Amino acid sequence: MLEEVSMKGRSLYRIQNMIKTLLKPHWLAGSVLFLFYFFPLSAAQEIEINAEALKAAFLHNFPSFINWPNMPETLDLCILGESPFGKTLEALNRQAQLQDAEQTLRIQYHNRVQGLENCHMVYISDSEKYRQTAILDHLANHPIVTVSSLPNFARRGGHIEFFTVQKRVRFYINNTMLKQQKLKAGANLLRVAADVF
Amino acid sequence: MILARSLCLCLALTMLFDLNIQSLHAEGMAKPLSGLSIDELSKVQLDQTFDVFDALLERPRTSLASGGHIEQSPAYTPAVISIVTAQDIEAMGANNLDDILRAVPGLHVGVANEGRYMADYSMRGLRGQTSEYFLIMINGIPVKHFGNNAWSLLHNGRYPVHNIERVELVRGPVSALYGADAMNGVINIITKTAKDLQGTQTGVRVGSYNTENLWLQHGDTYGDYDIAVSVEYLQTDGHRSIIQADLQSYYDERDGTQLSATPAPANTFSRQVQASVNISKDHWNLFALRRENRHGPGMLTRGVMPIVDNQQEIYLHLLKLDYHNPNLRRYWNFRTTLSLVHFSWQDVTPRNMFAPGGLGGRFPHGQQLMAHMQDVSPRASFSLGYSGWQDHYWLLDGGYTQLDLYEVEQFTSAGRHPDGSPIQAEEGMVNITDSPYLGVQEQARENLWLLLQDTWLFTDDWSVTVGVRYDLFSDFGSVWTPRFSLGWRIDQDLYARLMYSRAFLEPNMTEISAQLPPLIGNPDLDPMTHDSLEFALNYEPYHQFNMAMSLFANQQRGQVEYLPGLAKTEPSYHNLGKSYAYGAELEVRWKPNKTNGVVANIAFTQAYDKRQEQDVPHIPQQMFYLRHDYLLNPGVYLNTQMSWNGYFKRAKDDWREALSEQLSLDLSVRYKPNKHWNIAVGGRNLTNHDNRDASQGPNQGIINYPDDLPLEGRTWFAEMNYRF
Repeated sequence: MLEEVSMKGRSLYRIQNMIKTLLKPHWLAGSVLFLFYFFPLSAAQEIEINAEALKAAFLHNFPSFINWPNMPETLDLCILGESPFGKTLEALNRQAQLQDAEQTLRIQYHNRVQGLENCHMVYISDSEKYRQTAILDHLANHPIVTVSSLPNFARRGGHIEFFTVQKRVRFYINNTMLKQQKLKAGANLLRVAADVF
Repeated sequence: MILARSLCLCLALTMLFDLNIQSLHAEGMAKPLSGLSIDELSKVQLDQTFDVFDALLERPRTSLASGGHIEQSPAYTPAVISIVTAQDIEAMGANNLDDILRAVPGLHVGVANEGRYMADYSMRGLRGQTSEYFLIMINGIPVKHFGNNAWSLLHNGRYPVHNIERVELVRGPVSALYGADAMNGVINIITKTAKDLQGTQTGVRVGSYNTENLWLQHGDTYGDYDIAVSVEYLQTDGHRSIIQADLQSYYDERDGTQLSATPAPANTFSRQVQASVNISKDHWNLFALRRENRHGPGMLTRGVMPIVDNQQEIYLHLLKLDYHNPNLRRYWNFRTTLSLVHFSWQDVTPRNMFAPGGLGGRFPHGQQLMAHMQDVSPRASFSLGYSGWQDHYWLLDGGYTQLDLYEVEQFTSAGRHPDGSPIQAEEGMVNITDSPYLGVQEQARENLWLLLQDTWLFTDDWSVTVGVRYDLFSDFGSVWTPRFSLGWRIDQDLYARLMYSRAFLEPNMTEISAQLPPLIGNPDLDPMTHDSLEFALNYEPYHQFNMAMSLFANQQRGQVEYLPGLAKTEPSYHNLGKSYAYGAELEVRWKPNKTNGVVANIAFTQAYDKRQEQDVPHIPQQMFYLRHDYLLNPGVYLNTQMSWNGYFKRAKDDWREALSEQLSLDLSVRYKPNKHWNIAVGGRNLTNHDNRDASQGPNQGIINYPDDLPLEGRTWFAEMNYRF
């Protein structure tokens, strides 16, 4: 009981102390300064386009330019590893539905290589760099489009590799690999690519 | 209490920020991009953000928590990690490593409490003397000396910042990867490479306390070689805070003498020159660093009188050759590293240890001392990763290292000759090298290790990392250290981790082998162990907002304590200490719009010393840090920082009032008119708050520095950087 009282007393003492500290001139000055600085935070939010959002938009667009051997109605886009996209892909999906897009995407998040066989397009996140050979080997015999931002991804047997240059997101296409896996990239996609090999 | 507080705070923040802000933001981001053709998308230009925000948003990947193999964002690593990048360092206007580490949640930057003004980094309830509970590395190579700390980096005039690309820090024990001393964690300083520098730049910074800092850096590709060269010079008088009273003041008052030189300023002078070369070609990397630091010793170790004119010199040489081939064979990732760390420390002028008649007459003729010592630490290691077994990643790592303390030389004007006869006053300085009367003896320690770790992604949302490391030491036996981490992706934006890990601190060489009564080493000492259980949560609803929380509980066993035996030959060091701590750390990074960025963190710690039956003294139980970056126009930004540490405790036999809070309000303005110039002015501790760090409590009823150790007051700086 006594202990409880003393604990209560201690808390009160601490609160009093805290208030006293906050009323000291430098704390007051500091608080005013911070309020002044934080004021701009409440300003209207401007939307900032970052590289990840742009990549998400590309990913969302790619299926329209690719022909799978058995074109499904719903395409499975799988993100392997740490997704850099937040919920942008889902938002793009919703926007597309609003605009009555012909084809819809189903977005799945994976950690394991096992189970990727059912995807149509796989985005391999940067976190998977340490096992990209194993991933590409696993997917090699399936008609699955592989996309990544890992450097030299397309040269190492991947299909589409994103890179950023002069504040723009561009991509390379390894069409030889696409063809090997019986996937057909549309002419428009190949035209927009920075390089095709 | 702490748990409840932090959970409430978390809940409140989560509610505040989860008010659909994420979906609003994702929708907002998607709207302008949706419906654009692929042609149009390829023409969209990314927003021009001032590079200060890059660090805030990009959160570079690190492989520190996986032994150098798996690069993960700090949200997913199997240990809690903080990263401070070159952009952060520039934004904060940091002067030295101390300024950088103040931004890390829960990390307290103090000074050695016996008066040397050597940096003491501590966290999570575990405070030593000179950061010995952290394993400090430069480019992955441990820099440590015979006392288990990175002495060469922590002395007055701390490690300069302009060649730092980033500092990666594991908060929590990771001996299962990095071996001894990684108790509070690991601090890895990563220097700039040719890719980071991309050209030539030079700069100058001047500031309070006659501080001058010059640097010249160059990095480029020559044929197949990427070469980076950096030279940095830093000179400062330091804050020279006035020490009001010392141990001699106590005897002066008792005996009516006037021998103490206090009040007098602490000798915080430092002049450093640091040069490094980094050469890379294909899978090879060669790194060499030379660091020279002539400095004042702060206050004397034993706190008898300030040694205003004394100077000491430290040399550090580091050489590293690294071969890393991530695709040695299909699925095999291989790395091997050879390194050598050489350290030399010496008094430049005789150190006045005791004034004649000092310490209550114990030194009738006073004592002057000069010492010199060197150590060298060769190291060879390999690590092999295998990714061929589906959804597993195996890591095998092993190596050998040695710490050889040699050329220990000492000259003294009081004490005993090597043959045991007393030194007379008229003899002056006597060489006692190779005698049993040296504070530290020449000796070597060898360490062999092997570790095995598996990271297994056993479902699409769950992963586990299990590892164990075996260390064999030549002088005190072997140690096993396990680690375990379970990761769970609850949702796309929410990731949880539960971690257990163990760490150990190797007994230092003096504790094992000293033979200078009353200091008698104990060869049967065990390493101190540290077990930690941690729960971490990372919430990132959208790219511009991240919240990370960690709750921890840890306990330490077998802290080495000095307790002289009855007989002079009995060991005086024993594994006696026991303590535990628990607490929480919370960090928020938020970029609400194009021109503003906010980083805030808060930490609570409660630590209890079971042996002394008291709260662990000299640690802040609450810490708060706030940073705001404000882009005034495309070339000008303003950085404001505030750090606050409070609720320090004293030891129960310490009669002084509790140490008051430490507060610093910092401001800097940076102007980048074009790609060549980068100009900044700023100030730290603008309110000139009287910050002090705790001095050691009473020893046999006497406190060496009764008024604690004053820290830096208000300082100013101006900086100019030119890129060719």
